[in-house]
Amino acid sequence: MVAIVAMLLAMYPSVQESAAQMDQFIEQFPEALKALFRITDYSSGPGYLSTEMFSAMAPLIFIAVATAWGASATAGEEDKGTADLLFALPISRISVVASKAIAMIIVLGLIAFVLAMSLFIGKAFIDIELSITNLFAACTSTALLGAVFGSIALLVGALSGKRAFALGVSVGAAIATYLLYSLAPLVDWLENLLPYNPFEWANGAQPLFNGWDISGLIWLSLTTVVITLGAMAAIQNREFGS
Amino acid sequence: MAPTEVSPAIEFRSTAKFYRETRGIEDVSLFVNFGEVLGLLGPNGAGKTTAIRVILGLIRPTSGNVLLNGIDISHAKDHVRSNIGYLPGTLALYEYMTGLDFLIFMSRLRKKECAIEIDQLSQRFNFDPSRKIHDLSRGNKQKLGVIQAFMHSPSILVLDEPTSGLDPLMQKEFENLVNEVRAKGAAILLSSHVMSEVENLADRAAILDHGRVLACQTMTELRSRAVRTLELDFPTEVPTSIFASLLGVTNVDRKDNVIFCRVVGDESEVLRVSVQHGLRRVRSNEPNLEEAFLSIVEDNSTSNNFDSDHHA
Repeated sequence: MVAIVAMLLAMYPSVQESAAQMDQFIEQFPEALKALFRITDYSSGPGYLSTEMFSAMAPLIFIAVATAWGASATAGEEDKGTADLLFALPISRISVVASKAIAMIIVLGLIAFVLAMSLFIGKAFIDIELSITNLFAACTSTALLGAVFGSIALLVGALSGKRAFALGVSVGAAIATYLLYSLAPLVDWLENLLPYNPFEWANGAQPLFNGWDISGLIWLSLTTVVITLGAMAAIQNREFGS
Repeated sequence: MAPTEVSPAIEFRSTAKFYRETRGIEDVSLFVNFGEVLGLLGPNGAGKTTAIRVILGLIRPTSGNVLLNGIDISHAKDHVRSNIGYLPGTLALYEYMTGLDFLIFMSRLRKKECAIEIDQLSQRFNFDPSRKIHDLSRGNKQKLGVIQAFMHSPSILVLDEPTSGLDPLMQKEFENLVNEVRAKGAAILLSSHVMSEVENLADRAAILDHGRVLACQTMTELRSRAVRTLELDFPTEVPTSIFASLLGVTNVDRKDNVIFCRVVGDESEVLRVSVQHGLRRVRSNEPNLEEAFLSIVEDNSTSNNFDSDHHA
């Protein structure tokens, strides 16, 4: 991930060099295309990073890690057969799910920290106007976006006991909501759905430009918590083994 | 409720577990006392593992109850399992850990310090806990399973096919270990389809088939239900007809002066009649549990022919 950040930042000067041409070039893009890829002013620091890093790359990283983690949590134990020993221990099923969910949040938090720090350090070498607060705000929003889909994987895994299924459903949900989010500027009725879309909560208020987006963070956290509570209820009724 | 001193360690009360397509167990009533080994015998698919999973709360019974130490597990906190040691029939471990990592991980989740026991049991079973589980042979993985089941000195042990994969020397060591913890008052439920293992260890055995308990008796009683083959040696030729009419005697055959027959249960009548005819020598093969077991299962399936389509 540090490598991706380094590469993206290394390319920024060459982008800026031809900024005038680039802006002209982008001007010529059809409005629809610009809207689809959420292209803003490519030549400004936040604009470049927002387009390159936070509209696709960072969500991809967080969602990939979170869904893999969530799907492995209980369904992975069942697939491997270790659920037998784990859930026969004198510990509650709810506490197993809770500790796996907390572990996921910690991992996502660590990745967010590393991502924010590497962007912060990286920007010192090249000339990007970017406050560290905004960097952390954007990384936190994106990490919590991952947590939403991670908790979906956790819930589906607790219901089905099948890791691959949990992974498929949660990644599918991420792709579907991403498409709805991306197409929203082009389609009127999709725009009405935006207030319910996790990608909108994470990126709609452009935390990279505007800093902490409290209401977006609250929606992301609340959704993660509610779905995780659902996973806890599901694991209580789960029958382990044949 | 006040659990009385006589509460069994494990008790099934008319416990049933049905699955959507298959039957698990049906109307199982059994108990295991402290200081006792109960063998759970039966062919594959008889419901042994289902019964065990119900004890550990991995699955919930469709009807009936399971009590641990007099406490109904369906109303109990998860703490009720803190005194159980469990060895699953299909043992799966965290392959990326070392044996020691795994044992420490398990003891932490139990909130019990087991370092000394881990050390003792590892030495006893000649097990190297520093190796990655991924690199262990099947026998060594099974040793690890045994160690994690016994390390916290549980008062109830639930062991599903415990010696599968262990070499004879380690099987012997395992039997010694079971005998020791029984002497200390632990209750042990031992499921197996290896008859000799149950024969060596168990005080009583329950025979399960098609999810039902066909018999639950002391080893002596089970053996007495077994079919034995007698060889009766006479000084002269004796007609087979005098034995064929006796109760419990079948397959009477004669070769020169020797009568061969199969006897179920009491042998005294056969022997009395034989002595009257000048019996010189009798040879009887001591039935092993396998024969006892087969005769009980066979009896049951011939009297329940409508059930035979469930045979897996």
